[in-house]
Amino acid sequence: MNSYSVAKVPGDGTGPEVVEEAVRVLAAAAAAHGFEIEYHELDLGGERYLRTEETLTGADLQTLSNADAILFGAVGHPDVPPGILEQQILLRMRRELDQFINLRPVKLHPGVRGPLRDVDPSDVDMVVVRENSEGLYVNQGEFTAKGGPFEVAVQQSVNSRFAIERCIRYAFDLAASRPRRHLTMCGKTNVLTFASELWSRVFEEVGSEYPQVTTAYAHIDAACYWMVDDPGRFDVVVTDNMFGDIITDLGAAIQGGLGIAAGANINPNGVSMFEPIGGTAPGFEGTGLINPLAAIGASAMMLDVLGEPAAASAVEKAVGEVAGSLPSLRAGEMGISTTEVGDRVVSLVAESKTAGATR
Amino acid sequence: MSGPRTLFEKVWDSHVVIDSDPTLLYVDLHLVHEVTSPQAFAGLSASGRKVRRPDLTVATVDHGIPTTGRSLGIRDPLSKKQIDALLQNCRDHGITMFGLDDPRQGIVHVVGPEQGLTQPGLLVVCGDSHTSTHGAFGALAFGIGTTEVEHVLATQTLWQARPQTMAVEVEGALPWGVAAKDLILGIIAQIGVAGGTRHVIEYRGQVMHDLSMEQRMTICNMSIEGGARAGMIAPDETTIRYIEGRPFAPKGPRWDEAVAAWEGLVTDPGATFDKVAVIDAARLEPHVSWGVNPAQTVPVTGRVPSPDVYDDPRQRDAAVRALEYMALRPGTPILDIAVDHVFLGSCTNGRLEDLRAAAKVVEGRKVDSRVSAVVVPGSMQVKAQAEAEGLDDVFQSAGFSWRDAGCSSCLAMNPDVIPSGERCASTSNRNYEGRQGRGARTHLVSPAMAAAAAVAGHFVDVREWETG
Amino acid sequence: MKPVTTIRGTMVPLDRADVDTDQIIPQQFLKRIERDGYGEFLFYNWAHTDDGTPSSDFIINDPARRGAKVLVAGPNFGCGSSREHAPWALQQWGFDAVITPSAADIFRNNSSFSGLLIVELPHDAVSRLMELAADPTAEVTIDLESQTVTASDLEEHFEFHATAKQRLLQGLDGAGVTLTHADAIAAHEAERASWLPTTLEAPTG
Repeated sequence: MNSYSVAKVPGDGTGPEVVEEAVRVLAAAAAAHGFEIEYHELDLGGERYLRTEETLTGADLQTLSNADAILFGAVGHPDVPPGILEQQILLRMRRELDQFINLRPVKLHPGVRGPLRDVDPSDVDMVVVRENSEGLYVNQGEFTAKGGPFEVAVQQSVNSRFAIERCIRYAFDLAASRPRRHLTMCGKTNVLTFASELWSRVFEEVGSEYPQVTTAYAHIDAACYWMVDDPGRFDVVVTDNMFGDIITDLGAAIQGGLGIAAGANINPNGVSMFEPIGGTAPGFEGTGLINPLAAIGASAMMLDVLGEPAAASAVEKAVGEVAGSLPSLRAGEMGISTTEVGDRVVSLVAESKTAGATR
Repeated sequence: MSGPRTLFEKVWDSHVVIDSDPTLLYVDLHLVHEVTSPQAFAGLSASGRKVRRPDLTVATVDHGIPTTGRSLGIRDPLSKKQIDALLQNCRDHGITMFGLDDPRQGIVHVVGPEQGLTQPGLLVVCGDSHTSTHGAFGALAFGIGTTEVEHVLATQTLWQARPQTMAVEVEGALPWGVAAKDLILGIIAQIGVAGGTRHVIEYRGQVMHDLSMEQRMTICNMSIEGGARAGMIAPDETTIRYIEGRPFAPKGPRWDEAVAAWEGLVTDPGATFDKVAVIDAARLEPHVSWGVNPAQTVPVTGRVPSPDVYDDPRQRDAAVRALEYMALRPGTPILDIAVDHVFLGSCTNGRLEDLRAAAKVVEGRKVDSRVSAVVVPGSMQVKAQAEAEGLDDVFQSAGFSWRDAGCSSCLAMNPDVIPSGERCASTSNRNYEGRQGRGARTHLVSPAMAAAAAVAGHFVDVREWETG
Repeated sequence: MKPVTTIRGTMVPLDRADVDTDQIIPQQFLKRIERDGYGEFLFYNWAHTDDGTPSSDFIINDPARRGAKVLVAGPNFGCGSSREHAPWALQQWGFDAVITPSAADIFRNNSSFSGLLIVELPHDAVSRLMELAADPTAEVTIDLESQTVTASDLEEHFEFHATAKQRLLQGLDGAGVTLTHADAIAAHEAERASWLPTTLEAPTG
């Protein structure tokens, strides 16, 4: 049977609790679908930083890059100055492991009461492909006359053909693999006359190689409007780093919140990282009130990328059913505890055996 | 060896390092792909050795890679491991690799010739039985197993028992509408799947010189299907013109030296062969396989045979089993057999001329609504050339899926598996049980015949179709 | 490689011609990067039903055949693909030898590297062995040194390549032996024409 090596990073706050539930669900999936997972646990996050001043060492990166996939909880600590953990752990990991795609499925499961009125669950079923390596996140810019009345701050957005094209190709391949085969690019061509213009050109060129995929363009402001007013128009969305950051949070809201929103930092040719997109949820740590469905959903994405589509599908389906059965997806309002949510998913997944797998 | 020699003997003799039995031969070109190499590299490392001649070794990925959605990464964890292993091994040993991001990537036996690596008089080996393809250039080219791959990596040599020689004399010209694929299927039908065992075949006759290099490759490719160790065609002007200017072909004064050396690569008058088979090309028709080995073919105008035509009881039993597997009844006209899938590709028929021939049949027509038809160019270069000629538009307008290069459905190690019980008209080289997927039913045909079957939904005699 | 001298054991008859290596070990098992673990996948498609359960009417699944050492097969055994996984699967299932009227070239060659003995006998001798092999307890003895096969009333001499025989008897294998001829290899290399292709100058596209 296939055996996968997974680097497990529980992290800070509620990270360990939700990762624990994800691991239980993965065990049930492995048993039902005939594979094995071997975990290598890494201690990364604010707690460790405060103890040792280490964020991400060479040895950590080696362990991460040797794994088949990374299951990540959350990092963050009130006593750590802002930016340190984000830059030195999260962004550094993405860069070093060349996880140039950020993938965020936005799906409203039947029975989940999200903030949108009169919307059918089938109208909220999209995936956002966010460019994950450049744009405004390159930390390039300058201050002039700093501190004075004439201070100027300039922030640079780097948009390279290389990174744009690989991101757009990924999005087209993803769209081609889905039933609706529709891809929308979000930009701001009327303002970002250089960056968005390059994006548009690449989008059109690559698009001509995918006649089976229908395409659309939306300015980012219009896209935000439609995410609320007409989410059904989106199937796969591709956009740059900053716009992607914004629109995926909006996506999280319309799909029922951080309790369910999962995401991945993907290196299609290497190691990818899967995580609940919510943070450490300070205040909920250790209370058994945090919703583990986001972390479990991330583990389903992980199974899909590892090459266990039947197991991935079973976990996703179970997440959907349990989500639809809860009175709310908010921490503390689910009506049952973190582990009880996990129990329900585990028992649904355990029933989902694969018939006659030949590997 | 004095006296008149065959082409095979000349090439063999020039590679002898130690003249014993078996003979130690020097390998000029070692082609490597991801499926038969991982254990070889592992063995090499385990014995603390390095690749002796990375400069005579080249690798590509072809067998297990997807032909669609490549930027999403390799989804099959086992294939991913194999491909990563080859990547790492090539890096460790300094071997040129045409990987997934390389515009030269493709099926190893398409890539070698188009890059100008395959040249007359070379000894070419690869861990793949269709290495015989390269014999079309007058090279001695044959498939080897993983242990031999390790041996070549370590020593750049191979121990081989000297094969015997067989001439396949093709008389007459190919009739209109009969492709190189039909010629080799006709040869195999005549000599049988073990007709060439322990022999190297030389394909001879005027018609060989009238064929293009791609057509010669189709013929030599299936030598193994006739049981032969290798197949060769003597190089000529056509060969020289094909090679000239290709990326790895010799240039300048070296080109002239090479061409001069190649001129002698022809069977001497008076040289004898251990075995001779004579094929009357004029009697050939487009062939379709009905059974589960490449000799079980009939002309498209014919019928599925009855097992009673076989005298040998074992052959008769085999035919009964074949008909059961293929769900065919004796006496059924081939023209009545409907297909579910059409696969245009493989190292046999995945080159530009094959795509042109198929596109000509398809132009202005549509794939039958019940058929799922796929075109897999043999290499990314072939794909680019086809796109430059607009062939992709022709195929896609008709309803074919236009893919990236790889072995694909020929042996279904990637996701392009033909479902159980479904029938596929395929331009590949083997119709064994389960070859294209467990329970899949393969019918081997030429590209034009496959394209026509895609449009009609069943086999047709492509000679009857107007291609205007 | 362990030396091959004498093989004695029960048989499995497979009275089919042209058994190709796709049947011996189907393509999905070629994705593995290991050299071992193929025994359970031998003749996979014939030995299992569509949903993966072992097929009770395929002979190698018959418990009475467990422990058999010799496969008796029809002509042109091992034709088709060059996959060395085919002899690996046969050996790892438990076979030490295959007796056939004729084996395909690449398969015969590949088998010699792991010591799977391929013995070619005339058709009538193979037919007699097929008859004897109907009894799962019937034994056959193959002696490589004397090149003989004995079973019940049958005693046959077989042809075998002299050098290959010595290699198997002594358990010699691999590049180590070849590299004792390093001088001869280097001498040949020095004489090779300068216009022969190399793969390292890499023009792209």
